[in-house]
Amino acid sequence: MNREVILAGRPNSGKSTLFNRLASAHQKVGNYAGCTVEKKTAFVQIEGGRSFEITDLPGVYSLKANSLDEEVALRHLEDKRDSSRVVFVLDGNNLEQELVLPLMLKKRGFSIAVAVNMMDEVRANRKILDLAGMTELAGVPFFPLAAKSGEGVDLLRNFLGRETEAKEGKQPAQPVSGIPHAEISDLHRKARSEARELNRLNKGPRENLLMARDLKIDGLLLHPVLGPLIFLFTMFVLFQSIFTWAVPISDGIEAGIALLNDHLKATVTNELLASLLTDGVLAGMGSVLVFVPQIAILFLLIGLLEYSGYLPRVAYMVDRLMKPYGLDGKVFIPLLSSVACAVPGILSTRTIESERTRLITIMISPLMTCSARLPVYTLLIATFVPATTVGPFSLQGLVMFGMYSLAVLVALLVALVLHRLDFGKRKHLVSFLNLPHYRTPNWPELLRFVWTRVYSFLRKAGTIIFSMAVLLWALLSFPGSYPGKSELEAKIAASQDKKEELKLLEDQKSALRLEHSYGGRIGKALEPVFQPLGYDWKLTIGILASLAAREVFVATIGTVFSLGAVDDDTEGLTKALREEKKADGSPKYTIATCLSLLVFFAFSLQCISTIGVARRETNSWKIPALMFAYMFAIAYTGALVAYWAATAFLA
Amino acid sequence: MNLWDAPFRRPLRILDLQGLGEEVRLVLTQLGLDPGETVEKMHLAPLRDPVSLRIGEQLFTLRAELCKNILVEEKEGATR
Repeated sequence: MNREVILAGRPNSGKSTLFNRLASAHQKVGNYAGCTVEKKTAFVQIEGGRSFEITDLPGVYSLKANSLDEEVALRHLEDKRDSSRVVFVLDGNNLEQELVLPLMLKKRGFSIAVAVNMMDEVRANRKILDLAGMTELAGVPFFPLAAKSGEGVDLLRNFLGRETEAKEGKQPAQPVSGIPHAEISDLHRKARSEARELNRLNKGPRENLLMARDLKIDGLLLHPVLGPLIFLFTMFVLFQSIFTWAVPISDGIEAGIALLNDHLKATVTNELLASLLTDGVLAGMGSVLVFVPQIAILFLLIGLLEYSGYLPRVAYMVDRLMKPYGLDGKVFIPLLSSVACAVPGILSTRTIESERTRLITIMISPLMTCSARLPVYTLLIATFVPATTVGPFSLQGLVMFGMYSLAVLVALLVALVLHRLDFGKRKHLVSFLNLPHYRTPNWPELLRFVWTRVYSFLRKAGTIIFSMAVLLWALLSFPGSYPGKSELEAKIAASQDKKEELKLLEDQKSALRLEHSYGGRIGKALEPVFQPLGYDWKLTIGILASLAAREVFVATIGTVFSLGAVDDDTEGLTKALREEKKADGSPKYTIATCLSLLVFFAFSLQCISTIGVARRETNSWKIPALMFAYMFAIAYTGALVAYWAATAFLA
Repeated sequence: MNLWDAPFRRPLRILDLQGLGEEVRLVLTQLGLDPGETVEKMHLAPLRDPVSLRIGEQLFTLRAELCKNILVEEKEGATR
C-alpha cells in the first residue's frame, strides 16, 4: 500500500506554502466527505518515476476540536492512522508551544516528522536550533525549512520519497478523535514537559525581532483612535476600488457579449435557435460573467489584507461590536465577502469555531447588499428617484447608501433575534483569534486564493444561473401563440419597408407573445399575491424570474416591456417604466412602487446559488428553507409597509 | 488577580483556570494557557474588549469573560 503524507500544523504555520512547493502540479481541491471543508491533495513526483500523495490538512491546535476545521483534521488523521506519515509544520520561533501536538500524536503511535519552518526568521533572531539533538532525543526527524523561499524543501521531499511504501506489519496508531478529556489532559502534560526538554537544546537570545515588529505595527493599527480610523479608511478604499476598477472590465465583457449576440442574431437563421442562443444561453452566461471582475477584485483585496495579517486584526477590533448580537469578530470576513456575493461569503464561514455563530452568519450573509442587487437598485433608483441634491450629496447616492445601511441593520437585528431564540445547536467553545505575523504577500499564493474563489463562483453560480436562464427563456418563449397572431404577422409582413411601423409591430408581437407565454400566465395567476405591494403582472413576472438570480429582473423587465435586450440600454427601460400609464392616464409606477421593489429586493432570498451553497454547507435543507421563508416574510412585509407608507406620505 | 485585571506588558504566570467547563478548559490549556505557563497582555482592542495576549511567540486574542476566569500572578523581576 502506498503511504500518504499529511501536512499538519497550526493555522498560519506555512503548511499551504510548503504544500504548493512540494506539489508542483496535479493539485486536486475537493471536500472532506460530508462537509465542505476544503481538502487539498496532490502527487509529489520523485526520482525513478515514482510519486507519493500529500494532503494539506486544515489548521489544528490540539486534540480537542474547537472548530469544524479541527474536527475534520482530526477525523482525517484518524482515518489514515495506519498508512500515513504526518509532517508537522511548525514556526521555528515558537517550538516550545508547537511541539506539544506532534509529540502527543507520536505518543499515540503516529509516524511523525517535524518541519521547522521560518528558519530565515529564526536566524534573524540569532537563535541556534539543535535539530540533530532534537531528532535524537525525540526519536522523530526534524527538518529545517523556509517554505516561502523554498529552502530545505528538497531535503524534505527526498526524505519522504524514500519511504513511499507503508511498512508491513506496522501497528496502526491509536485513535485521535473522541479521546476522553482526562486522557487528553494527561497526554498534554507529558508532551508539554517533553517539548520543554527538547527546546532546552536550542540556544540564542530570547528576543524575537518579528514579534517586536508586529507589536510596533499593532501599536498603530490597533490604536484606540487611529486604529478605527485606519480601518474605516481601508474599507472606503476597498469599496471604491471594487466599483471603480471593476466597471471598465465589466463594461468590456458586456460589450463582448453584445457583439457575440449581434453576430449570432445575424448568422443563425432559425429564429427559435437564435432566440435560445441569445436570449437564453448568452443572456444567462452574461449575467454571471459581468460579476466576475468585481468578485476577483474584492477577493484580491481581501486576500491582500488577509495575507498581510491585517484582516485578523480587523476581526479583533470589531469583535466587541458583534458581541451583543451573539456573533464574534470572525463573522466580519464572511459578511464583507457577501457584499460581493453570498456564495463565497457562506463558504468562508467555516473558520468560525462556534456552530451557532456559524449558522447565524450563514443565515444573515444573503442580507448583505451583494453585487447582483446593484443592477436592480441602479435601474429603480435612476428611474424613480429625482436626480437632485440634498446639501452636498446626491439624493440618488443617498438612497443607494441607505440600502447598504438598511441591509446591515436588518442583518444584525436578525442575528439578535436568532441569538435570543438560542438558535441552532449550542455547540460553542472558545472564541479566540490568532493574530499572525505581518507579512508581505506571497503573490502566487494570493493569485491562487483569488482563482479558487472566482472558479467556485463561476462553477456554482454559473451552472445554476445558466440553467435557470434557459428554463426562464423557455417559459417566456412558449407556446408562442397569442390571440390575433396571424393578423399581426400579416401586418408585419406587409410593412417590411416601413422601419418605424415595423419596430412598433415587432414590439407589439413580443409583448403579446410574452403575455400569453407560460411565464406570462403564471405571472397573471400570481398577480393577486403581489398586488398589495404595488406590482402588476409584468413586475410579477420580473419577480418570479429573479427568484433564480436577482439580476435576471432587469433583463426580464426589459423583455416584458418589449424592448428586447436591455442590458446596455437601461435608459430605454427607465423611459418605458416612467411612461407606463394606468387606465385613467396617471403614471402606473411611482416612487411608492420603486421603494416597495427596493425593499423587496433588499430582503428576499432570490438566489438559487445561495440556497444551494447553504444546503451543502449545513448538510440539510432545513437551514436554506428557513432562510428563504424568513427572508421572504421580511421582504413581503417590508415592501408592503414601504408601499403603503410611500403612497400615503409621498404620492 | 485575574488576567483581565492584570497589568499590560508584564510576564504573568498562570495559576488556575476557574469556573470554566471542562471542554473550554481543555481548549485553553492546549492553546498554551496552562497553569505554570507564562502569558503577557499586549493590547486592548479599541472598544476595550478583547485583549491580545502573547502566548509563547504568538499573539492570540481572548474576550474579557474568559480572561476573568484565568487567575495569574506577576512574575517578580522576570523578563521573558
